[in-house]
Amino acid sequence: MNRSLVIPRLPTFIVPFARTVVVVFAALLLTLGLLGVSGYNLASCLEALWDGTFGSRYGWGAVLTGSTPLMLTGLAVAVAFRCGALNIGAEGQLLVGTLMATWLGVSVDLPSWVMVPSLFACGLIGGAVWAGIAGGLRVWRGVPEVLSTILLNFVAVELVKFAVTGPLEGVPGTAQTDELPKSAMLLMLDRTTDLHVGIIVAVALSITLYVVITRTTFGFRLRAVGSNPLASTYAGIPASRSLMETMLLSGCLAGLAGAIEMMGRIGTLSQGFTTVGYGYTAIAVAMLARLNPLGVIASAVFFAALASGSREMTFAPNNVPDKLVEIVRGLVVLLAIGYGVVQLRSQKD
Amino acid sequence: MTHDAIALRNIRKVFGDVQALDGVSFSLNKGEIHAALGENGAGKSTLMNVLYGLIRPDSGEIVVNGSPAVFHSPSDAIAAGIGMVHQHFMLVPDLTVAENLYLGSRSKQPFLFRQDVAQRDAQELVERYGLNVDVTRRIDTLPVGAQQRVEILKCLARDARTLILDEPTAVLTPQEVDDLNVVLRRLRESGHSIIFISHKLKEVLAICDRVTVLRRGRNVETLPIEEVDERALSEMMVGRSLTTLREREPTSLVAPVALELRDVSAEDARRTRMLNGVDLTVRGGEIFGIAGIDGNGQLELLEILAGVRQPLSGTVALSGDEITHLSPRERIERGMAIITEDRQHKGLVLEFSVAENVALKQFDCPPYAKRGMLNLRVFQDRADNAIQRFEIRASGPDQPVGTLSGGNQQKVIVAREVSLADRLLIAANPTRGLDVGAMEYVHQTLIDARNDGKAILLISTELDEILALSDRIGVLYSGNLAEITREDATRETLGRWMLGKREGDAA
Repeated sequence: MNRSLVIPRLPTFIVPFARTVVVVFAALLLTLGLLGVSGYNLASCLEALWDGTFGSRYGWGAVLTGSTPLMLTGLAVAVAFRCGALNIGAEGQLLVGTLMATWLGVSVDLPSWVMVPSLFACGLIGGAVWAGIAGGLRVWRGVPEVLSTILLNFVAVELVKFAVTGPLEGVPGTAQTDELPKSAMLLMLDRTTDLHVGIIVAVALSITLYVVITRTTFGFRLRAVGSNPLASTYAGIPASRSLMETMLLSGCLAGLAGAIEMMGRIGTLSQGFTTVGYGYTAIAVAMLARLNPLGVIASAVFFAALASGSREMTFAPNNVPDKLVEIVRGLVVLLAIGYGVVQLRSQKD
Repeated sequence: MTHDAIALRNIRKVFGDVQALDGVSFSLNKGEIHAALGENGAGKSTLMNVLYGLIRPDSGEIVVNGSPAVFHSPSDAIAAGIGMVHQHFMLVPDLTVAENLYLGSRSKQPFLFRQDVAQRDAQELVERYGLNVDVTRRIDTLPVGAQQRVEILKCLARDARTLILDEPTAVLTPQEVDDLNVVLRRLRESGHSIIFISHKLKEVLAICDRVTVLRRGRNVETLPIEEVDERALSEMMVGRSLTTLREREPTSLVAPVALELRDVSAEDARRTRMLNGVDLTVRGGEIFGIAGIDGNGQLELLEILAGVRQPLSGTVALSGDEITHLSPRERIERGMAIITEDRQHKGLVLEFSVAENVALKQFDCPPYAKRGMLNLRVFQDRADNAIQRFEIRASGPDQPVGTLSGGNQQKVIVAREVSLADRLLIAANPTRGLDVGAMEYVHQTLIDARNDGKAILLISTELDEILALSDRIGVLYSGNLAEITREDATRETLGRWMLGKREGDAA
């Protein structure tokens, strides 16, 4: 994992980037191959793929909206991995952040200039607290965060299920909360699609985080500790504190991702939200982006396009069955992660 | 002329755009101990890896007992009777000696592993070659010297007639080095041939029959050991005559005390006293050298000085201010610099570039950073400066430090610490693993710093280093530090003190 702040000169940057593009194309070819073998009309499928992604206004909306939570959770994972914390708990942190934001949202109704920042803050705090538990366990008891974060994911799922069937349940029997008031919802950028302001927040944060990680003393510190905590200690860098900060930062991003998704698109929290799995897809997003915050932007868009395009294929006239689409998505993720792993390992040599 | 047991002729090997070997030849006679001597990067390890089948040469030939041979892998080399003991041992720590030997053995292994059979076979090997080791003990309970004997036994178990030892003495205590010499002589007598890869001149002179010097991938010379001395060998290795260290200017007794330890004691995790009431002072403009074998409290002393460990009792003062409980950061801010003994784990972040490592202790202070933002230009400039001043062989400030050779990695640390040191510079085994050229460089840097008025605390296991550099000398044994006068400090006396035998001295 290259945690150096060295930004490769253009030639050295182009090659790995081109290789990533190759992976994307390989994934597409695989998709087409699978569809062709199953007897589907390739031309028609391709058309659906295009329509569902960049070929229509609706497609663009779906892709950009879908990439928002992936971008933010992808950032959470990329930052954590880059700074030495194996945070597999983005999902749980996202859920807890969403839960907190939703709780505040349905409990009070204030003007939007108060509501929106407050709910954002809830998302940040919820995610940070959840990640902080794992961080604390690592720092004070040496519990590997790979373990604790995954286990906390399961706890978070149950927490959400409990909340939406119990204290936060809106209409009894629906297993979902009331809708967030209008004041808490994010500005829509395009009323014909779901596209909301969250995408701008996500992209802005990606760029900001890139600068923070590579050009601030804060980022230097986190990366140093992530790479060699012992040498960092001897160099006067507080290792435990830095690791905790990494986890908290990561948790904040994941929690915010959930809050924004809630406030921008969904508007209500239900059990179904625990099955979407943004936090897990985020790992693939981060790997494909080679842990680079700027790369996460493109990577998230790719994964969102994959989801949207393949969903479009399930509609008429192609009617590709859901399961086939799932297979395709799974294979692409495998390719992306596998390639990411291969790249990271070859960087070690 | 004895028959060549092994000959390497005109070996060439290129790695990327580095010519690691440029037509190197090496011949080994039967029953001789032949040294492959050279600086780090000279090509000696690469050459031996070719012989052992780990690397395929681009051109050149290998001749074994008169007939040409091609080695596709170590199995071929082993089949040809060649065994290799690497610098970093390849033993399984949790298993016993017998089990490790069993793992490597080629003998007909029954499907089921039998402990008694393995032990019996292992014991037989031990007795046959006289390499004393308890075959029932786990590897991780054995001292390094014994582990090395197990590695040698592994080779012998596979009927090696030729042994290649890669930097065998790098990890041994002086006593263990003597033991190894005995073993090697015995093996020579029984007709084995040995290749001894090293950059340690004294040991090569003590044990080998012939020496081949390599420099930058080429042969320099091959000579019988009677015809060379240390000076000649150094010059052959480095390619130029070595300058003598600049004269040490006499110390001034009125210089301020930079470091003072009073009654410092420390315990390890098992409540063993590792430091016992240590008193020590170092003044500006002097080098105080502490000699001692590893494991007598040096590690704990360094940890206490760095601020990574709290002493059980006692105080540490820097230029008169007590710093016993200050953090590493606070000590760095007060101008305390430490060249650690473990450059890869404690001194450097291997993934970071040269520039990032040079800046590692000061990255959040001006001019490296302002208001939390890094000034990358300064990073580059400072690194360029260090590379030039210390002749660090790197492609540029952006090169990841992990890809530099050991000597150059150490130079990065030295560059960083020397410019950081305000009044005190602590150097712990600063030349461990370095070749002659780099060693000379570090020594000169320390002397220059001393002449500049800085106080230097040198802690080293190398007696020659202590004797060459120190104004005052102390010996650390079993947690007790005792100072010895310069007149009394001969190699013999120091050697005895290091073993705890201080006859005729007041306690």
